[in-house]
Parts: sequence; C-alpha cells; structure tokens
Amino acid sequence: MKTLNIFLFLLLSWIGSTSDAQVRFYASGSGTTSTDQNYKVVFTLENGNGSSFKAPSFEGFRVLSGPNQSSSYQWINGKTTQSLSIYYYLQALQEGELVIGPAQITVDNQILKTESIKVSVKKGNSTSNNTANNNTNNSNNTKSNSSSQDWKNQAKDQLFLKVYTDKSKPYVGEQIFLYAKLYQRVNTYGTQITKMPEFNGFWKQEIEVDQDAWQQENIDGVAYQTLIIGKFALFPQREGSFTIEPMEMQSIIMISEPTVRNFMGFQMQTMGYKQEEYNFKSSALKIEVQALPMEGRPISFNGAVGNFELKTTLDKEEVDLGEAINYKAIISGTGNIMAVSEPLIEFPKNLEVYDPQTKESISKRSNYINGSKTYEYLIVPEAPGSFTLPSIEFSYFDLESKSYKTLSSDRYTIRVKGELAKTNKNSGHQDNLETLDEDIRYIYTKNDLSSKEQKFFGSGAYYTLSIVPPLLYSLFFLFLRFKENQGADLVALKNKRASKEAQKRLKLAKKYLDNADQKGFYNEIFDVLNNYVSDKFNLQQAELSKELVIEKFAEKQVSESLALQFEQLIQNAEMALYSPTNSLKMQEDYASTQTCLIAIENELNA
Amino acid sequence: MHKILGLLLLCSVQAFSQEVSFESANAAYETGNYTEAIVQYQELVDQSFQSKNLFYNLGNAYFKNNELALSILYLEKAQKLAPGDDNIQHNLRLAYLNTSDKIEPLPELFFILWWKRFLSSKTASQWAKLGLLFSFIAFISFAIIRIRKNWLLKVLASFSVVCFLAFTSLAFLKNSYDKSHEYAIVMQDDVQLLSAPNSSGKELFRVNQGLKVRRIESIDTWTKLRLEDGNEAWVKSEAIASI
Repeated sequence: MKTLNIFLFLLLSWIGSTSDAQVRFYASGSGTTSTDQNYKVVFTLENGNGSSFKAPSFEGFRVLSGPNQSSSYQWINGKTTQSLSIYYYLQALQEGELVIGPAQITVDNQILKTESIKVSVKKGNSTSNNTANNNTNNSNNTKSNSSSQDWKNQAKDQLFLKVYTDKSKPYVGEQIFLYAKLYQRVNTYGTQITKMPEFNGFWKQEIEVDQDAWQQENIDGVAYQTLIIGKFALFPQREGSFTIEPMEMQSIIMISEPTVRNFMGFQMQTMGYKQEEYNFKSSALKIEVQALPMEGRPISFNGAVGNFELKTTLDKEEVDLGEAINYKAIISGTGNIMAVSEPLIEFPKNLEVYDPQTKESISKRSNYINGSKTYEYLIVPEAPGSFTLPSIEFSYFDLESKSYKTLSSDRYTIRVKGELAKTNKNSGHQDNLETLDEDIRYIYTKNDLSSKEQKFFGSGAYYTLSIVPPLLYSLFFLFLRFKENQGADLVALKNKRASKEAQKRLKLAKKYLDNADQKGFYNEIFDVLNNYVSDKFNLQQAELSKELVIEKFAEKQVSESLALQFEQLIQNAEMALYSPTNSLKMQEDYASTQTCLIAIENELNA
Repeated sequence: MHKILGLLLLCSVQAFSQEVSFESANAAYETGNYTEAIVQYQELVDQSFQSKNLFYNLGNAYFKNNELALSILYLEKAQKLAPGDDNIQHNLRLAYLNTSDKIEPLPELFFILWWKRFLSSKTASQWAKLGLLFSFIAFISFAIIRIRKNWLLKVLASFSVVCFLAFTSLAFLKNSYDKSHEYAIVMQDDVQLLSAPNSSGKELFRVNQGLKVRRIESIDTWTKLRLEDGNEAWVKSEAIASI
C-alpha cells in the first residue's frame, strides 16, 4: 500500500513538472529589414504569468503599432504550452546595424529578460515611405510586383479559408451545418467577407457565431489561429448534386519586409512591414443530396424530415347550430418545419370550414432548427346532429431510424343542437345534390323500328276498309226498302181483288141458291162478306168483329147505313145457317148482298 | 304458293337484319365506339326506318362524337315523333347549350305541347284503325236500329259516329304533322343569311351550326327562314336540314 502511494506521488509530481513546464521569455524577430518595411518583433512568455512588462526603447525605430497582445494555449503530444505574445510593428529609421534591447517581465517575483536582437537595416527599395498604400494590384512598379508575388505565395499558406459541412451526403430535408473557417498565421486586420455563396437548392438559416472565439489549430505541425466566421443551417430542398460556390474574403495583411533607407548619407537596412490587401477564397464545395427512400413512404408524407409531434385541440364539443368552433392542429418539432404543409382533413359535410389561419414560428437561436406550425380552423355547423372530425395523419422521415413515422391525432365528436331553419335547408342541404357535370342521357335499347312502307294509313287497304261500312249500310238499306215495297203491293192487290173475289164467290152462292141448298148458300155469303172485309182492310179473319168492321168502314168514309147494312147481312147469313127460310128470302138476301157490295165498292172508290 | 313463301322468308330475313343492326349499333354505342354506332344507325335511317328510339340514339351518338348539328337534327326528329319525352328533351337542351348562337327558343305553350303529345301518342295508321273500328260499330248499330228500334243502340250509334270522325281526323292530322317540315337545323358553321334568294343579297346575319329555324318557303336552291326572334332571311338550302 505504501509503495502504491509512493508511486502515485511520483507520477503526480512528474505530471505536475511536465504541465508546469519551463518558463521561457524570449524575443523573436528577423535579422534583416529595410527602411521601407514593417518589422515585427515579438516577445513571448511561455508557461508563465507575467506582470510589469517593460519594452525596450527601440532606438533607431519608429513604433508603428504596439504593444499588441495575443495569447494562445497549445497542447501538443501531451505537452501543454501556454504563451503570451507581445508584439510591435516597427519601422527602421535608418540603414545600418540596429539592436533591439532586452525586454523584461516579472514572473513569480523573478525578473526575466530577453536577449537583444541585432537587426541589419538595408536601404528601402522605394524612397516613398508610403508603403501602406502600396496595393497588390500595383503594376507600375516591377520590383514591388515581383515582391508582391512573393508575399502572395507566402500568404496562401498563411491565410486561407475553408468551407465544409458536417455531412457530405444528406437526405432531402435533413439539416446540415456549413462552416466557414478562417485559418491564419499572419497579422491581418479589416478581414471581411466580400462574397457569400448562394445556396441554391437549400433553405438556409445563418446561425450566430462568436466573432472572437479564436482557436489554435495545427496543420502538419504548423500552428494556425482559427476562427469560425460563418455557420449556416442548410436544408436541401431536392435531391441531386449541388455545388456551393467559393466564399470570398478580403483582408489586409501585414508583411514584414526588409527596407533600405537612406538616412543622412548612410545606407540603412532595416526590417519594416507592408500592408497588403489580400483577396482569397475557399474552394467550391460539392454536396450530394440523397432522395428519401420510397420504400414505406406513407400517403400523408409531404416532405417533413426530422422529429415532429402532432397535437390537435377542439375548444368545445357541444354547440348550438350556427355557433363557431375552433379546431387547432399543431405540428411542432425539430427539422424542416418550414416545409411542413397543411394536413389534409376530410371534414364531414354539413360543417362549413373556413380556410385555416396559419401560424409559423421557427426558432433560430439554437443550432438545430425547430419550431411549430399551427393551423387554426373555424368550423360552423350548418345542420344539427353529431359529426366526427376524423383523425389527422401527419408523416415525417425520422433521421435516427431512417424510416417514416406517421402521427395520428385524436378524433373528436361534435354534437350540434338546434333545429334546422327552413331557409337553411334549401340553401345548405341541397348543395349535396348540385349537379357536378351534365351528360346526355343514355340511349333507348328497345327496338321500336317500323318501316315507312308498312304504313297502313293512306294505303289501298285503308281506303277500301273505310268504304266498306257505308257501302254495307247502303246495301242493307236498299234491301229493307225493297222488302217493304213488296209488302205494300200485296195489300193493294188484295184490296183490288176483294170485290172480284166477292163477285166470284157470289156466283158460287147463286149455284147453291138455284139448287135450293140453304146451308151452302148462307155459308158462301158469310165467307164472301168476311173475306171481302179482311182483304179490303188487310185484317186477319180471326180479329174481325162487328165494331172493328164499322170502324174500318168509317175510316174509309163509307156511310154508316151501308156499314150497318153490311153488318146486318153478315148477321143474317150467320143466323140463316141454323134456321130454315124459304127460297124467296134467299133470293132477296142474294140481291141485297150484291147491291151492298157494289154500293160499298162505289163509296170506297169515290 | 312458292311466291308467298319466298316473300315471307324475305320479310323474316329483313326483320332479322334490322334487329341485329339496331342491337349491334346499341352495342357499339355502349362500348364507346360512337363512329361505328353512327354508321349503323344511319344505315337503319337510310333504310327508311322511323322510330323515336332510333333517332334519339343516333342523336346521342352524334353528340358523343361532337357532331353537334347532326345530333340536334336527329334529337329534334326524335322529339317530333315523341313530343314531351323526358330524355329527348334533356339531351336536346344539353345539345343546344353547346351551340354558339344563343337564341333562346320560346317554350311551347302547354296546351300545344299536350296536343302534340296526344297527337303523337299513336301513329297515323293507329288513329286510322281506330276510326275504322268505330265506323264498323256505327254501321252495325244503324243496321240493327233499322230492324228494331232501341234507345241504347241509338246512343251507341251516335257515339260511334263521333268517334269515327274524331279518329279519322286525327289520322289525317298526324299524317300531315309527320309530313310537315316546318323546322330545320342549320348544319354548317358561319352560314350567311341574306336578304334575297341570290348571292348578291345583302348579308343580314351569320349563324352557326345547331341553330333551329323555321322554314317559310323555298325557291330553287334557296330557302326563306324565320329565326326564333322573328327575323327573316334567305339561306342556301344545302346549309340546313329539315327536321
């Protein structure tokens, strides 16, 4: 245990001795200069906390600037070096050998001194002392031209700019950082950006950087002061290969230069410095932007990349008809929030939804761009009932898992109370039935073809058939007429023949009279009279009666006495059939029958 | 006997071919092959078949084929055969919407439409047959009355006479309605309407296809028209087609 303690002690003391490295105080500066050059002398204190620094008197020099200070901290191969540099820009006033005396500083109550520096000063190339205005594009002086080439070549390694990104192959929509870093190991001032690249194909957001955060960095063993002068958050907007153009800067650098001066007849060579305007630029940067994978891409995806959250709120779920409801959908998170677009929401019919109010807030303070987008919908129900706001889907590409993620919001049910006004019904309700487009109606499929030739109307058959009924009727009419006429003739004939027939029968009666056949005679007389009447008046024998006969005679304007006589004769004949009479009476009846018939015939024909 | 049989066969063959053609034209229409449908319907029309459905379908096919004037012509022909048919009216309205000359046609007076609808509910031949039927009934009634008088028969007879006269008049009216070509459709675009029946007449209007006009008279190759708004002008007869 003791041995371990001892070992630890030794180890720590060794580390302590190395970290508490040797305190050095030294002066550095080149051995030559000229009268028209700036000369830089640096007093460096390493690994020490110095105080009460005393500069040398710089005899034979003019102090252009100083004391300037810079400090740095280095850690190389486990060795830390802390250094404080105090430097001056000087200009030799005359040619010859000059000595910069020792500077001194107090470290831990100990006075440290630098060594003197011998400087041989040459006469300056140009008699003009105005070197500060000596521009790099000065071409009227060949010597200065050649020297400008020198310093430019030198400057290339001493002052340059690097532009780089943290990712070389980002996805579309993925945030990358682009840095512009300045490397320098030369004194400069007035450094400024003269041309910023255009970030075509990217959405860009500049991020503030600390302009004094100088750092020291070693490249191939050479130490540089570095400063990140620009930092950008970039979001590639589309896939492909993009080139970021070089970033250009301008700086005035100070170059130490030997000057030879002519001072009071002496050629004096001193070290001076020169201020030169120096333009430099970074190299172009290529960025390959990859497309997001197609595989597993949800329908609701529309370009959001990063890490998001979806939240919805509804201010009330029970409303009266016509009362407005607020529905908010908030998408927030880290990533390309500016590319997030309005989610597709299928609102139920009978809800009037106004265009949403969109609010966007993007935080630019932190490194990774984050923010939120709020879509605020105003919903006015147009009909009572219960409506369901469907769940909203929002998809994004998650960079960590390199996969798509879909968020779904809550569903809400809105209950709308109230009665639908009648006017509302007409305007609001019937919208659903509004014709979207009109097309002609479909064809008839029933075959109803009929040929023109088959027309019945106007054909011969039609006219023939239409003649038939009147024709038939006429024929029928004629037939009836004919029959009627025929009937009438028969009666006339009978009428005509009545008396003739009577005379014929009377002759037969005379025969019976001559034979004295009483029964036969009166039978014949009875028949003669009855037949006469029936033939004359178209009457049936059965319907004959005394009254009818008298009536018929009256109709025919036969005198009543004659009619009665006629009737008396019939009665006589009827009675004589059954009672015997003498031949004289028979003779008398025969004669009176004959005269009566003749008299009636005469009156009828009158 | 052989002749009759041959005639019957011919008739049946013809009937068969028209059946196939109308159905196949419908099938072509159904598959969207409107050009083919037009060819087949038109063939049926050329065979002087007349039917509301044929004209309506042909009008529809022309409409689908973007031949507006022909579409309107055949739809109008169909409407003439069946005034007041809902589908025909609908399609005709749509077709007229596509014409460039907007002359709002006056809506037909309701009783005229009723009358036309009634008149067209039967063909002239059907009316004529009805007339004949009542003519026979009247004849029989009168014949019976001659022999035996009966008041019921008298009523029947007078009723039949009235019906006979009415139906026969309807047959004649329908026939003349069918034969009348009062209206016509402008078949071409940019047709000049002139003030006189010769090329030197002053140009009064320019009309486009699909316009419905009323024919007044014809002289040689010129026809006098009356537009719906009452204006009259002459046009080359070839530029219009009668309904």
